[in-house]
Amino acid sequence: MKDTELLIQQVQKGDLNAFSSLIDQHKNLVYSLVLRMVKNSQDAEELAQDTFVKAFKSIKQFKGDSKFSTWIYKIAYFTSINHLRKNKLLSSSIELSTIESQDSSVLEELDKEDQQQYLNKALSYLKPIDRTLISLFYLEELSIKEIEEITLFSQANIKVKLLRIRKQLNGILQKLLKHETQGILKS
Amino acid sequence: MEKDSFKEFINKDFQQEVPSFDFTQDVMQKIELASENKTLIEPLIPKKAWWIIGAFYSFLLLFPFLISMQENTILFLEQINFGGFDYQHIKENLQLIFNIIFVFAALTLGDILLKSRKWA
Repeated sequence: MKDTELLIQQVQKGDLNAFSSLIDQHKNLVYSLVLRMVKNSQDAEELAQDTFVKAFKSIKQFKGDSKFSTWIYKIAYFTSINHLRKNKLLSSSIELSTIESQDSSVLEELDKEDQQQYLNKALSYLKPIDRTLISLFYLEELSIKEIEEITLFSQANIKVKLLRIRKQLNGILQKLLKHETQGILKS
Repeated sequence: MEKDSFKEFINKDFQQEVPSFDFTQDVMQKIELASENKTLIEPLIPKKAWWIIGAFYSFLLLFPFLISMQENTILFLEQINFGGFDYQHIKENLQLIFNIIFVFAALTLGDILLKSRKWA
């Protein structure tokens, strides 16, 4: 972490090589977040790059009140939101959302190998912002406070949303598995 | 909020997507390009040059007036009422003040330009 702070200070003094190191440190996280939001690898690559360019332009404003990763996540989040809004994709996905979910996790019934595949599939049905919240909390293991800083949702709102999305995800998984089972039975 | 059993399934083993191999290089190129564009936007005529041009045109406009002032200096000074504000001579008073300000502005500008290394 001290390395990151040192690099930031060097970038603020105009060292471009230091920023290159900062990109290397954070590119996977930023790219993953953006990809989960936009669901298109080409767009994600472009938006992740734009995120770093924006970060470079405003790095002098970074005072270190929050972690650098949180700060750059925020830029990535809003860059992606703007992209989705421009392309009218902000509330896309979820055709399976009408499904009533059950409390028990469907994933428990799956083999470990299948879990990732089904989760990926299920996540793609979520709305971009919901997908991001789930990713930030469960995959990147950020705290509710950090997610609040990134998304600007209130902590209470985030907790409620996460519970709702979890139920929704469970419902989507059930539906997906049902389709799969029916497909196998038909063939 | 507790992460409970759900966390066991969605965890760090979950495959993390990676950007292209040239990602860092591409970003650095974009940054360099942005800096170059920033330089190009810089105006061809700097602000100081605009000041000189402005001063020059002001001088051109005021030149005939200054010449006529010089011819009538003695007469003009006699006309000015230094004893107090005289509405009848307001025009002459304003002209004098304007000339003094102009001379001071020109001297200050000249001083700034001489001190400025960039300009030199």
